[in-house]
Parts: sequence; C-alpha cells; structure tokens
Amino acid sequence: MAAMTNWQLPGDLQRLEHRLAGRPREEPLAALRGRVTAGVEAALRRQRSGGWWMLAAAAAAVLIWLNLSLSATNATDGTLRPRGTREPVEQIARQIEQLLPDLPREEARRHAVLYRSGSELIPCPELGPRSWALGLGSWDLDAGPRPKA
Amino acid sequence: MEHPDSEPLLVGLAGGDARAFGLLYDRFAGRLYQVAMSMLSRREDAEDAVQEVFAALVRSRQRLGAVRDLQAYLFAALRRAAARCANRRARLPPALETAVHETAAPSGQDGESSLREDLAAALRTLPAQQREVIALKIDGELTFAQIGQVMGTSGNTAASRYRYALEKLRQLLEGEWRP
Repeated sequence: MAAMTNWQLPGDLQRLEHRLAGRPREEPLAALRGRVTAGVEAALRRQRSGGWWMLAAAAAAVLIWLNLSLSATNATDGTLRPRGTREPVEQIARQIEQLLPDLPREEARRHAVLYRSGSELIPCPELGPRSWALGLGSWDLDAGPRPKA
Repeated sequence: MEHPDSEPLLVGLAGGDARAFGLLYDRFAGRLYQVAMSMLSRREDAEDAVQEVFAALVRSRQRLGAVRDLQAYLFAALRRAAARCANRRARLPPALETAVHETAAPSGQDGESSLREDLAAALRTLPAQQREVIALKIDGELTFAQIGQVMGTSGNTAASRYRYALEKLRQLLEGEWRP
C-alpha cells in the first residue's frame, strides 16, 4: 500500500487526469430516481409479503400431511393382526369337523366361509340400528338364520 | 474514501428502510451512472445498470451488515450489472442495435469542444479494462484500493492499470491534443 501512497504520475499524465476529471459529464435523468425508488419499494413489499406466503404454504403443508395421515390411519387395520389363512374353504371346514365332530356339516362349512372371508376383511365398527335394515338382524349368531314370522 | 455515515446507512438498508435506499441513491447514483455510461456508452443501458444495482441491494440486503466498504460494494455490483447489460446488448440482433453512441458530444464549433470530442473519442477506443479503470478512478472517485476490490485485483495492480490506461490515452490523443 505504501507504493500506492507515494505513487505519482508524471506531469503530462497528471494534466491529462485533470482534463478527464474536468470534462463535462452527463447526469442521470430525474425520472431515474422515481424508477429506482419505485422498484426498490415494490421489491421490499414483495419480500415482506413473501414471509406471509411462506407461513401460509407451511400451514397448508401441515394440513395436507394431517389429512393424509388420518386417511392412512383409517384405512389401516389397527390390530395389526397377521393375515388369515388362504386355505380352501372345504379344507377349513374339514378341520372344524375334526375339532367339533357333533357340528353339522353345513354349520362347519358356514363357519369355514366366515373364517375365510373374515381373514380378508378390515374390521369395521358395529353398524348399530342400521344393521337391522341391512338384514343382519335376522341372523342369530348361535342358531343360524332366525325363522321368519 | 468511505463516507463516515455509511454505517447507519448500511443498517437502514439491511433493515429494508426505503428512505435509506433513497438516501443511497442521492449520494451515489450520479457517480454510478457516470461510470455505467463510461462502460456501456448508452443512456438506457446505464440507467438499467444503476437500477439493477439497487434491485440487487434489496435482494441481498440481509448480507449488507457484513459489508465493510459500501462504495466498493456498490461499484462491484455496478460492474456485474454492466456486464449483464452488455451481454444482453450483444445478444440483440444487429437490426435492433442502434449504432449511435450517446456519449458522443455534439459537433463543436470552438477549439475547447473539439478537444472534448477528441477526448471522448479516444476514451471510447481504449480497451474495456482500461476504460473501466479510468471510469472508476475519475468518475467513480474511488481509491486504488477500492478499485482493486471492485476489479478483483490488488490496489497496486489497479494503480498500474490506471497509469497504462492514461499513457494509452495520451498516445491516442497525440497529434490532436497535447496537454
């Protein structure tokens, strides 16, 4: 830096330098100030509103995540029980008959069908009064279909 | 030389105070514009470059707290903006390219205006880097250390380039103007 402090131009270059410094120079148009300050103010406004936009985007992302996770929870078997058998119904019925020799063949088959289909179904809440409208009330789970009056 | 009020100004700029940007414009726009005119030779390009400097300042305002030399920072931003303007101009098809250099002074009737024309013409014929160093020193009123920061060199290199540029200018003017 010392070299720069002591740096001296020869006389002719100094005069040229003064000539350059003294030459008429163009000033920016007055309208440029308005253009620049308007641009700055608009950019600052955009930056400030950009913060709110980010907050809104984050809130929307949280809502979407919540919605998806609730949907996934509802569609998942909460008991996480292992998948049931895929054995043929007849084979299951035979096994039931072996365990309960007194059970009629039709009843063993019915239990086999229920067992087989139940292993593929997702548990759902008890239907309540509407279940009667669906005809499920006509079933006595101990004795089979209820005789019609 | 760094202005003594630069620090509060930088705080205002970093905080997004529009008045600080107005103050900055009033303090530096004239010099920025003149340097841009020296680099780009067109009023509209020079105005665009100055506007880009302020737009860039708004974008990077949160980093302004770390700026040590506001003038060097501004002129470095102007240099980048001028380079972008020059690139955009270079991509324009020739039909849209106007050949008029707005820095050309009107034809002079007296000897003084003739000398000014010669000086302006000689400046335009200098290589871009030499024209730039003269613009930063004479029009931007920067120190060699600041010019070094702007151009990415040392202050001594900036001083040498300036001297070479002046010598070249003198050679160009020889026979037409003698100091």
